[in-house]
Amino acid sequence: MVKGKKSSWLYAAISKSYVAKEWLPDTTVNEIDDPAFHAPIKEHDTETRPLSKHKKSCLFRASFVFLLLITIAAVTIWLCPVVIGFCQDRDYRTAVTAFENDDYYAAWKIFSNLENFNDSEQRAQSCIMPYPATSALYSDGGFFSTASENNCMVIFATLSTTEPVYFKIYYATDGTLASTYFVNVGTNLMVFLPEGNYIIKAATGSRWFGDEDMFGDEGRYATLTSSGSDSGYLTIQSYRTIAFGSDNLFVQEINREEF
Amino acid sequence: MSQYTISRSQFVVKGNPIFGGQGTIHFTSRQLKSPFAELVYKEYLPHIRGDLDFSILESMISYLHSLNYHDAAHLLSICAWPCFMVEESGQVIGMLMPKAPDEFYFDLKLPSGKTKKKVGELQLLLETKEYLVKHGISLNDSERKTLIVSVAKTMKFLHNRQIIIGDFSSRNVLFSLLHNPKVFFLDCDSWKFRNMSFIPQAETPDWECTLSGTETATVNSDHQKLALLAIRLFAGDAQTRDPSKLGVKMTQWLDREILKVLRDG
Repeated sequence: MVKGKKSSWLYAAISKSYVAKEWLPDTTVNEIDDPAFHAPIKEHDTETRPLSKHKKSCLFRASFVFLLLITIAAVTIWLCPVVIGFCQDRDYRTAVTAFENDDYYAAWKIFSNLENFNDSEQRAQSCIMPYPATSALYSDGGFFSTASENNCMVIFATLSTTEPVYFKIYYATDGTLASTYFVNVGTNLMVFLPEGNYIIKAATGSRWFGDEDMFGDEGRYATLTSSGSDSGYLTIQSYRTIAFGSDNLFVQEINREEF
Repeated sequence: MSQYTISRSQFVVKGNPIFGGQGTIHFTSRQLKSPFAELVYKEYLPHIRGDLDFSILESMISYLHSLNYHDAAHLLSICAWPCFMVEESGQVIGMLMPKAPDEFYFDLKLPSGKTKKKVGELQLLLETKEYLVKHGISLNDSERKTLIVSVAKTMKFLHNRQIIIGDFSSRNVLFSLLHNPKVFFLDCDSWKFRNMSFIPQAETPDWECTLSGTETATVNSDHQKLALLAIRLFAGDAQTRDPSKLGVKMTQWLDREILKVLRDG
């Protein structure tokens, strides 16, 4: 017999009366006759490892997630100016291209949004065109300045002391454009129009981008008709003055595309 | 049919089959994708299918698929746990389980001097030093200690998950001496899972439990067979039940290390 065999697990385990619990009292021995042993395992419950290991695992995962978040935050902080700079540079180039293609209003909008990026502020200013002189910018019939028995003298003017007016004159009969006039502050323009019905449109604003974009979306656009008339046109039968803002004309606001 | 059931027509078998008491084992080209495992097919003998409760096998398979990747990979690295049921004409006829990894195969030296690739059944190591040398197996006490601790750790892992080995024997456990010695358990379908047995419990001759008044498959009986394996492994005697063959120092080491594993995992 081996000395001390009564205290040996090996000897006890091969005996007829071995009971695991007597040797492992401090741990959970899942005896087959222990009711807790028969408790069903929850679906997807894979965690039956010792609590200390579980805690270590959770701690490790939490640390990993924390470090991951810190890394993402750091990269984001570092990357933000780079991305913003990239986007601004891309927009700047787009604006330059628009300017070179004479699309001054589009270029102005982009340069204005870029604010202090490069020379955007100066470039935005360069997109604004000087006001044309008070004159007809377009005429189809040659009746401008032509005085005759059938022509009526019309004075185009502005009542504003700060903003010029751009007029468009359409034939009411077929809606085709007859002429356009630009009238600066403090001036007026005298023209002779054949007697008839006309659709008169007027635009005003503080920045001029050319006769395509005119005063941009920031300008004000309207159709001028006789007060109380809903016909949409103005009848020219004799001399008259057409001033944007005068009380004897009805102003119907429209948008730039409708102008 | 369970969602983890596949048709017998969905895979082909290859190589020579291995005939066992409950069925025939075939190698297949089928694989488990995640975690990766090559699968072998066990087809139960027609005359024993009536004694099998396939709902228990289904529970075992569902348990595997309910595990997260890490736990499932660990389970399949220590044993041939059932992965899929196999049906034919609406009847379950077998199951797919992982093939023992290549590291559990070794070159057995034959009397002719040639070598033959053989699966490393642990019973080969329960022999005398002369026998081991003759068959080209190099095994020292340090490796024996690592192996027995590996068996104890696997047993503890299984017990923690309400799994009792029951028919524990040196034929059902494979060894690997490559790198860090370790073991791989076979015949998992005969284990007791959540106090239910898919296959009626049986015991391998010479590995019978001698505990009085207990069932055949319990934590106590598993411990007894673990102790028996330890004695036989260190004594180099596949039949002995006498712990005195080990000597005091070895007995003390086993007491200390195995109890430590059974306590803490």
